[in-house]
Amino acid sequence: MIKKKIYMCILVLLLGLTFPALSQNISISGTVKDAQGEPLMGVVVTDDNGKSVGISDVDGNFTVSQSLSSAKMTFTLLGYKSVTVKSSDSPFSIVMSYDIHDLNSTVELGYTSVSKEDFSGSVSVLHGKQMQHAPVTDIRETFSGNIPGLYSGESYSEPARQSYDFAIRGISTKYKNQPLVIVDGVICYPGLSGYTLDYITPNEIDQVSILKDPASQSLFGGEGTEGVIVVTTKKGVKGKTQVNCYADFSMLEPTTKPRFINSWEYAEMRNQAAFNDGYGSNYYYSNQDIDNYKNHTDPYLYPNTNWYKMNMRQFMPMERGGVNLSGGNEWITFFTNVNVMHDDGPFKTEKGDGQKSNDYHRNLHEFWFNYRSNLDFKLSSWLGATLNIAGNVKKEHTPGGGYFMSTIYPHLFSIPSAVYGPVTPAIDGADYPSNQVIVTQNENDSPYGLINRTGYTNYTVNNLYAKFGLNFDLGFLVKGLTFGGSIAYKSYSRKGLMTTKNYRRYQRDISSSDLEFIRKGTSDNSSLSYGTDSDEFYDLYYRGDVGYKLDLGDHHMTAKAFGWYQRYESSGSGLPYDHALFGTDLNYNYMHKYALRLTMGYSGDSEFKRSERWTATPAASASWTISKENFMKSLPFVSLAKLRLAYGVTANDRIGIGRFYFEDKVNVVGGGPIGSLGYLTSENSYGNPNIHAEKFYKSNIGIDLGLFNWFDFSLDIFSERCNNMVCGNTVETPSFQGIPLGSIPQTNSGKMKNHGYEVQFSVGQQFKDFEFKVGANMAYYKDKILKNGETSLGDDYVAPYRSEGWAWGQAFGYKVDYSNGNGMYNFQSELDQAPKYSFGTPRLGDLKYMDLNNDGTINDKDKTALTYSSIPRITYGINGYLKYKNLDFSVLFDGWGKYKYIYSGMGIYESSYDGVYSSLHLHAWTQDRWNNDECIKYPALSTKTSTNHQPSDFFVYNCAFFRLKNVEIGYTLPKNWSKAVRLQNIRFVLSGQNLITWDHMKSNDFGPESNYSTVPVYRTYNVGVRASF
Amino acid sequence: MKIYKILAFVLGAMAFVSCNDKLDLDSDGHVDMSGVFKDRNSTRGYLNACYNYRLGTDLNASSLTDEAYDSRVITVGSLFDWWYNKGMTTDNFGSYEGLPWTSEFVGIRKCNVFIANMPNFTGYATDAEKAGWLAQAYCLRAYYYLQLFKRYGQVPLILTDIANTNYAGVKKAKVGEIVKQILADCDQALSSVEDDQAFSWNVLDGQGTIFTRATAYAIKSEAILYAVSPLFDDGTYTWADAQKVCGEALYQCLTHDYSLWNIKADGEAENAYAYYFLNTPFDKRITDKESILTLNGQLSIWSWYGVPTSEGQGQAGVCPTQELVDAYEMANGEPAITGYSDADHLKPIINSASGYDESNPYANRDPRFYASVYYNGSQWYAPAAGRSYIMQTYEGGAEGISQKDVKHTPTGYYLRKYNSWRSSKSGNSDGYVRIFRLAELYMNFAEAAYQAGSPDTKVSIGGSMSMSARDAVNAIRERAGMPDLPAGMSKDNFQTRYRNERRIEFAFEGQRFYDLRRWKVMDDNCKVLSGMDITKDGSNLTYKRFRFTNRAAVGDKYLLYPLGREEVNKMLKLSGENWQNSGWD
Repeated sequence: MIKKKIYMCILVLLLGLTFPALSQNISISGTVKDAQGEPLMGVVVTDDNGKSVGISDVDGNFTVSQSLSSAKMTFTLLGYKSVTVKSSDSPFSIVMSYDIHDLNSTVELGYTSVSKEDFSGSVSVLHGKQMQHAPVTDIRETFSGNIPGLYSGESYSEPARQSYDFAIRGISTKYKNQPLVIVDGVICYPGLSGYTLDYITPNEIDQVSILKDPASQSLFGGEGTEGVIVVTTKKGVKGKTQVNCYADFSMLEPTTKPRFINSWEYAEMRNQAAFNDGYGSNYYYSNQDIDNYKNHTDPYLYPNTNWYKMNMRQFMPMERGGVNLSGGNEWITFFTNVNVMHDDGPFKTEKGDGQKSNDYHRNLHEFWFNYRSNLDFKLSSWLGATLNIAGNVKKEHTPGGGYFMSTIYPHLFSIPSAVYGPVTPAIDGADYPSNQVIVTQNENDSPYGLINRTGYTNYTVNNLYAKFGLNFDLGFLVKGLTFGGSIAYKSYSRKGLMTTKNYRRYQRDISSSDLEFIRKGTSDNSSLSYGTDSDEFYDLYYRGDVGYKLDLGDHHMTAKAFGWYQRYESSGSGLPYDHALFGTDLNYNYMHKYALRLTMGYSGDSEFKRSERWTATPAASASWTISKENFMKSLPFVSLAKLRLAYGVTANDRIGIGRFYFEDKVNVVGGGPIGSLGYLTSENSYGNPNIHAEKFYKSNIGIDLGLFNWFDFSLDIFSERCNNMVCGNTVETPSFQGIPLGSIPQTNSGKMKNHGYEVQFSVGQQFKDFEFKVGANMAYYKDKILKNGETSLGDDYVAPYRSEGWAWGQAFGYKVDYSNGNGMYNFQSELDQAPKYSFGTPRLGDLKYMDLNNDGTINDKDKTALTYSSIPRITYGINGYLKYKNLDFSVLFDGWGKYKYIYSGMGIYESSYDGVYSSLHLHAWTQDRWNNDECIKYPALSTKTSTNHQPSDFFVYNCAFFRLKNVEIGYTLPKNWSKAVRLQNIRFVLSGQNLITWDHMKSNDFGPESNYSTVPVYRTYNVGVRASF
Repeated sequence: MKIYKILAFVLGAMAFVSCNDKLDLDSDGHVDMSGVFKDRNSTRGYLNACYNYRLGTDLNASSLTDEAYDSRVITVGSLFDWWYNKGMTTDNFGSYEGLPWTSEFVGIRKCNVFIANMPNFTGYATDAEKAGWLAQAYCLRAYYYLQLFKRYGQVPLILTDIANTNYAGVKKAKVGEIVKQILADCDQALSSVEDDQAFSWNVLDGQGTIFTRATAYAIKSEAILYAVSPLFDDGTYTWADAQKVCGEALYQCLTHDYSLWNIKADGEAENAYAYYFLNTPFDKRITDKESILTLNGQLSIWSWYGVPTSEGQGQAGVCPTQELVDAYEMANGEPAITGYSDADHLKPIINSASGYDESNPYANRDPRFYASVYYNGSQWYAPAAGRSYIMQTYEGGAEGISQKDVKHTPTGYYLRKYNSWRSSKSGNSDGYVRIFRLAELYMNFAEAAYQAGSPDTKVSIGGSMSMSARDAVNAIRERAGMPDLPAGMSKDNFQTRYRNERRIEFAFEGQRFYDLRRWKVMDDNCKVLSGMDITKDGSNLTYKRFRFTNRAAVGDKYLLYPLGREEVNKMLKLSGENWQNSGWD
């Protein structure tokens, strides 16, 4: 009998017959409403097999074409308890009730999914609906504050080009990698999430889930340990075609601007610095000069040039729009989406001179569109197919040689306001040409020159993602058996047309008391010259899986086994990277009360030797829903009580120590000390054939608690330990053995641990005309390197180890002795008693460092730990949602805690270029200020590197902050109005992003994520409209 | 159902096997260690790599002895600031010539690997080539151990590749044992076939710095001389043993066409000794029959340690001290100054028989003085170019003395040796530093011979050749144009003259640094150093000696280098033994 079926199956396959199986359908319709009688839109109707068959419209009406064989229908909607009815109970009037616990929602786990009710691990889920409150271009901007346990730091902030540093549950190995990203079941090559997520907009997202527990991570083998970001995009649902579109218009401005230092302030500080350095008073500027600057007597000779204002626009505009369609019929369902984005540059630019050769667009601007098309085909009763195509095309236009904001921004501050600019003036009788770029002796580039006189670069970036899959429902052989396979291809290419030119530079002739300029250097105004630049990569992915599902009364079981192979190749990295993974995921639950999950990953990586290549990662998780026990019936107000436990192994094969580390790197080249020998054989490094993936033992304990269906609380406590972290191993290797210690291979001999917790709660309810939900979450972690193959620096060091025993990224520096109040040498007698500084001699007003080892000298030995870790220990968020009739309001706060950073560089130190001063320097130590008891915020200024310019706790900034991340106010037009224009729904929004930040920074010159010379975080004000029909 | 299971299993297994193949690294043409000794080129390349760790002579070492006082002392934190004013610590000692401990042991391991693997070499090579390669590796290992024990005294004697073993049981070897191994390695090398393809006496085209049979003899000579010197003597060898080895080394070189350079080349240099140091060594041994081993390339003395009036000079650097100048005898063969009557070296004890004139101190001196030191009134030697220039090192002169400027001499003298008048910004004609030259073999033999017997006793050194210590020293003096040492000196008197001769002959060649240590006379010579301050009034010159502050880097700990702190800590942890040399923390 079975044999016959196999033959049938093969026959069908061979013939390529993909005709739909014939079955008899009936049409069922009805309405869905909430407890208050309001119609519910978007309720998905699924059949016995969990397949969606229909969706409700704006009036709550649905029509499904239901197979007669399906006995039940289930209605689900996020935030509501799902309802299951018998198909024969038609006609329907379904009432769904509010559920803060979301127990019926589906948690996407990458390759599998499970209902929240039966899930025993630890996963944070962010739904597309929540993300859409933020007026942003890419989904990564919506993570912060919304996902407990995910640190999301904006590592670069230029609008529409942001990059992010993510960490899930902190840091558990010193090779901190980015979490793995999976988009619709396809692994994005590790480390390239930037190319993968940045073109996905919130409105294509069904949900983003962050896998944090070992059982969920173990399935990803060597890639799972840093956590997994699972992105699931929307799919079409059978029924009437839904069209949603939106348009947004935003204005963006930086959240911080350094204090503008007036030319007279500059002159005074410059004099002060020279005085401190022993050049006497009024070394650079006379008192008359300073008065002239103050009185604006001569704007040419005594200017007050605001380089920032001169080159930066207050706001940069950005427009976004998009449309998506979803729907389908018996055979095909679809979701397609197109977005466009355009922004128009942060700079003020000069006009071309009308000559064609010079008449190009100077400002930075970007245009991109992205597309996604998710198609699901039902080819027959047992064969389905999916085709997902997504991607984007970006056009980026920048000044000169690809100068994005990061290049230009620091130059806004490197030329003092006391320098006339930006170009030489046209003055009668002057013996220099006008309209030439002005720079200074120490700064060879002016922001004006970089923006306006360097040509332009056009980049075209093309990302493509395509996936084709087949799903076989082998239920006709064995009930519940499925089989599937998919192929995915991703590629990235970037092509730059670089049309660059140079500009002639002039500088003020300081020997002349008139406004004279002399030419600097030999660079000259040139015409555009053309060049190109390109890079690309691709990544191929094959996957096959087999699944089995069994329901026997109260026993429910699912099993899935899969295998995949991935190849990644890029234009810059030589040989391809190959990965393979096999995994099994077994789930069992009894009455949805007791659930058990066993997972196992088995992954192989081409970077390891054959014998060390494979890593097994078994894990298990279990849960007990106590609130379903009979004894809890006496406590009806406990709407949820659940205990979750997980323990298992995860692994990391991205150890970042160079490719094919198991091999010796021996080089035979021509030459060498004895020419007649002809060749030189260098043993560049020795391989460690035993190097293998790092393994992590992780555990997670979780408690979920709900009261009255109003209040939802959960707590997760985790701990992680790695006993085979890859690190140097020369603590017991003397150098006389003859291999240079730097060539001795690293081994799996390190140890590191990490632990922490996440807690979150929410309160919410629905009433007639009014609903609200308020929640908060917080995550904490603390890591410690236990063993890192580190040799002690010596017993006379205050901190003889700089990684072992510390958190990863701990920074060291000098402690300032604040016992006298301000931590500076205020009197000569105090200075006379100062210990020796190994890096210079302190002056009056310089920082007073503590000689922590009491050897009379301040040097590296006195450095001590000053910060926490390389990322914040605490991240938190607060969110709220209110709806009253047609008005809705949502708000999100996010924040960091326990995060310090030692700043350095331009604007922090004052001595760069011709002196770059910020608001702290205005209050630098001087004898007068000290005598007059004025506020002193900075040690004595210097024109060159001084003893103050060392890492010390003076430059430790507390970067904890609390931010009003996002606010959205929406107004939905009454239904009869929108219907009048043949629309189902029309809603206007006012929203903002990064609106207010409360921080502990020492000045308002820059925010906690950036520094003086990096692009600050941007704030967005937005108006928009959303419509559906 | 069964067939499903089988099918699933087979499919799964196939997927796994094919995946494993997919994950294997394709052959990318890279070589691993096991392949090196299967190929002629990579094996020769490995021998070449064995050569990579030879230590040359750093002229800076002269500024750490009584030969010179360095103008760079004024740079706070410079090696000389530390050495002269503050003293060295274990942590900052590495600022002088890097960390030879590490680099020499890397070289030794490479030799060990080469020696162990050559018997299994399967690539193409003639038997003579193979023997020659092996001989060079043995000879290099001996050279590396010589460099190590000269600096560190006892070091572990490692003759096989011990990487990745347990190091806890490794012990430092006695100097005698190390020297035994050095002699054995050199003998092993010398026992190989003598052939131009193998281990040869000859230097062929493109083989400038290759190790030859003469190198092996020079290593033996120096190693055993050091082993019986006061600092290193542990009873393993006697002066008689040293006399035998040094004598044989000298004999072998002399009978294989080595001889002292004696080309005068009028107009090019003052004398043969001066001319030797302005020439390219070896010259395939057509003209240069004295040089045995050279490593450094040309020294740009004119730029690095030159006179401030040469265009492109960066610093005066290594400037000869008054003590060195005083050490030069008079041309009549009499010592000029035999010591100082005060602790500050301001009152020289003048040998009245010498004819030394304090008001004209640079007249009638040993010809090697004029070849090695620029002094006030010395001719900038360029007769071939038809140019004449007189040095002015007096206060305010063009090359005047200064304590505040790295470009001017702090002592009143500039380095002359190696510095060619032909050198300038547009081309470097400066000379080379020799690591080994025949003169050293003469002097080594002389030292061993007078110590073993007496200065005038003739001993057979090989064949029918016999020689006394005095003969050997006189051979050197003869080339320099100096009269013979008188016969019949006591051992002590001869020792004084011998040590002075060595100081003069090998000035600025890196010998003095180690000689002072092995004789354990560093403190006597290096603590108090002086210069000559000359003032000019009309045509009158007034000579005034002055002293520098006492050098900080004196004391017994400086007789040997310290080991790196990390290395000491590791061995202390592994074996419980403190490997640090005494005096260093």
